[in-house]
Amino acid sequence: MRRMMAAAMVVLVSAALPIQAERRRAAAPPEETLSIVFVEAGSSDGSLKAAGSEAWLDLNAVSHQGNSRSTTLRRTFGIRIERAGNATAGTAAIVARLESWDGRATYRLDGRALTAAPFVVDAHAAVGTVTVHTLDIEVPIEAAAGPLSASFAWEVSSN
Amino acid sequence: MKKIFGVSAAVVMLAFASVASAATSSGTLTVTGTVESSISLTIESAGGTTSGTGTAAASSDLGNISKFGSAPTGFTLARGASDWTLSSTIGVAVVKANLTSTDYSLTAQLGSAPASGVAWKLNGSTLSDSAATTLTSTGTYASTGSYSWDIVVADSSAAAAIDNTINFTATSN
Repeated sequence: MRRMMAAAMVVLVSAALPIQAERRRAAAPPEETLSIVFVEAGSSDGSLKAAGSEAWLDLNAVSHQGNSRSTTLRRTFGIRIERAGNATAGTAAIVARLESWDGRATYRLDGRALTAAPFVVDAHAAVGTVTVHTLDIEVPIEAAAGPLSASFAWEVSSN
Repeated sequence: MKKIFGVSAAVVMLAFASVASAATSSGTLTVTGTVESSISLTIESAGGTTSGTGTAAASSDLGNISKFGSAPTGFTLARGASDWTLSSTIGVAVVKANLTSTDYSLTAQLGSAPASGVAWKLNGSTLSDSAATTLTSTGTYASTGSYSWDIVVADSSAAAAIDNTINFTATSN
């Protein structure tokens, strides 16, 4: 009986060993680490400046044309989810939300209104591949002239 | 024995929970730009056979005109002792966007000197190609203003084309 108990303990300790090993590797990025990367896509008008997980979309001057009640701009960009070690297996969920904005414009991502509430952009985005998304920016003619600014927070999590 | 297995089970669960935890990462997309004030002028209507209404560049064809002929579409013809006048209206609309201005000024100017003996008038004022004529200083946005349009032809003027362009300019107040 004691031998059986000892054997069981050995098995359990062995099962727990990867945790210790993982802790020892904490200094280096674990293989499960994901990162979100913005990339230029679509019209390639040069308005997107990307630096890894940070991107800036400069609309420059937004001037109303025609007789509609608002000015609508459309920009496309790509998102690639990367896993440490260049592994491409698996999928991840992408969630986005409006983090801050000045109220001059409304924003739609892939046709859906962006608000402060997180919404699932893609529940099963393939790791390693670029998914293209469309951002529509609508400025009503009643909005005051001046600088336009908004920030969107993105989060990816492995499935 | 039961206690040992209970503890063991807890250890195993913790181990699996650690392995199954989801990896996450975040990013930020920042949008910037500058909303500019603007106004837009459109020709909404005009006498003659008109094309391009609703845009900023409309054309009106009066066809062949004469003192004793019939008036072109959308015009009336009045015969005087020594001249004759074709009368109609031009509808001009100005809309604003991202602008706090409450009204606008509208001027008109001919694109070229009128043919000899021919006068172009808007709101009763004779237009020239050298200076702009003010039609209103208190135009209402998003409302079509109607301006009387007269072409006065002297009987003494030579038979020839009277083609010209009226350039409208709206300025927010």
